Amino acid sequence: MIALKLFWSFFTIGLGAYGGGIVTIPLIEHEVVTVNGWLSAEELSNLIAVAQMTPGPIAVNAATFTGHAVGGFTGAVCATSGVILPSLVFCSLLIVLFSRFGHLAWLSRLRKSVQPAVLGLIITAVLTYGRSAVAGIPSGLLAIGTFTVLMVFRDRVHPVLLIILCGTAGIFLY
Amino acid sequence: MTEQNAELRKHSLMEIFLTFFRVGTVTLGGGLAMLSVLRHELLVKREWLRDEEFADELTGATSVPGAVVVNFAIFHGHRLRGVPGSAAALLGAVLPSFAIILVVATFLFPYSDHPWVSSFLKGASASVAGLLAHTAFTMAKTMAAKSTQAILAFATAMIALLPWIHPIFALLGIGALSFFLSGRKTEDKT
Repeated sequence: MIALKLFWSFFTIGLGAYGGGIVTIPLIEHEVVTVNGWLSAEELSNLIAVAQMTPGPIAVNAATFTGHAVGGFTGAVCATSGVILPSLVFCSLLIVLFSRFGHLAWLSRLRKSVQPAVLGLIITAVLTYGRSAVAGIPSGLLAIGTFTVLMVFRDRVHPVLLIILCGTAGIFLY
Repeated sequence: MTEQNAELRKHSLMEIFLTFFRVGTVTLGGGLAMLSVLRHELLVKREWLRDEEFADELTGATSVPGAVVVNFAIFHGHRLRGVPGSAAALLGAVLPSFAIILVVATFLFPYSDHPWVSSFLKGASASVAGLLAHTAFTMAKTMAAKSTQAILAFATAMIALLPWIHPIFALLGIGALSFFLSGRKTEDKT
């Protein structure tokens, strides 16, 4: 029963997870803390910290963690499958749509037309993420530094290396 | 068609799984923050696709609900090897975070409020903000090559930033407008 509830809750989170990690946090909070009381508000904020430090999308991390806390390994599997299911459904629909009708000129034009809007969402993510991550001069410098290094060295630097370097710098700065 | 298939067969399911496993292992932050890593692993290191194709698949992955990496894995796996490819990529992308969270939940969670952890995170998230800005910059070259497209992209960002509007409406609205504009342009030409 609890497994089913976990599955359903994280299914709705997956459905609403739109536009990247930060956007998902209020949804997770609503389902996990407010509606079901699976975690306390403080546990959730710790979880978000852990989710940002560990690899993978925040929604997936939160699902595995909450599922594990509430229903053990089975709970973790149920919640994680729940959060992935909307992706599977919608991606399959799009794949079928494009493989069936991809030859239609208007459909490929539609696909091209959505691109600037997608770029807009990425810009939104830069701004919302930047607003929460950059506060004060040190973090501003780290962000600008990362950006500059990438602009200068382009694809020769692995992004993860920069994340780890800036994280280590953070330990000394804060 | 057959030629294309022959080219796509090069990638074994194991290779697809391992590539996304790697992407899944190194994507800190999550959401759009991992685009930079995804692009580096798939496009720079493996040359599996070009910027235009990356933009194309990113459009699909961002247009539907769900985590972007997960959607991207499903799309790209399908492109490489059909349904089994999707399954391999999806498993590869999700398994690392699943396994690591279980380990962290069991052993390390008590340490998550250690001051070092939060200061490391502060520095790391600042860096992710820079990475994200760079990805936006790089993608702008392919996704908004024309000035109209750049204006549309900014309009989308402005609408999506309004707290009372769900970002999907920004995407649908501007997508429709952009579709309409591109239609008028092709009619003008003929």
